[in-house]
Amino acid sequence: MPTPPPISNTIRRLRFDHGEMTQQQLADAIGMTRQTVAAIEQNKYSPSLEAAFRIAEVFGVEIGAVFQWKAGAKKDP
Amino acid sequence: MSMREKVAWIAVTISLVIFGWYFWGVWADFAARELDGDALFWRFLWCFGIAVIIMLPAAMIAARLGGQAFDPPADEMEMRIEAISNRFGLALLEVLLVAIVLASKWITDIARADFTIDPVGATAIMLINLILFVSAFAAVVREIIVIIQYRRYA
Repeated sequence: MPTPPPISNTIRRLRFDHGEMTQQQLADAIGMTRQTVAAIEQNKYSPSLEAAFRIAEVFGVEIGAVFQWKAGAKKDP
Repeated sequence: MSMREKVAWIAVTISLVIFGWYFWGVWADFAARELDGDALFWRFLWCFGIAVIIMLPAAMIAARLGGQAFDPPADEMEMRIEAISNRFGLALLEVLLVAIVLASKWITDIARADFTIDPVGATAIMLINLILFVSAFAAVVREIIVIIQYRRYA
């Protein structure tokens, strides 16, 4: 298994807060497949910056409220 | 399962069965030292046609059963998966084609020794079928890499 990116996200909670939005509804809103949304939500795939902004836009929040960099997860050489 | 992954499963399964049968037949003919270029040409065309005839409806049925579009536009993760698979598949194809070129002298020697009636024709048949084989092999490996990547992200 590939090492997961040092990024966490709150997509599951945001979907819940937005009337139990389904992964398919979110996928349709940002022009992706449900499988890609599931991979992003489970932190298996890091979306592009554009896709990250699109997700934040759907929920009406700043991008930092959706994705969080895990500080110190990757040490500088 | 995304439509692209379904297509990859269909392509791998059908390719292994149909082209596996074709290349097994070519190997059997080679082992018996009875290569018939005309027969192999038509056998390949039939296999290719049957593969296409099965793959297209199978993909359509899979799309219908899953309530998905038959050929949806790829999103960024799918494009990334495609790019990685294509890179591996192309690199493999390049290596195998070079291997065929390097083996051409050996193939010519076999043709001269074992196909004395028409060594030139036998050489051509062997080389063409080797090229077909490595092309099919690289394509199947590429589709298998597509499946593996989808499973890793699932």
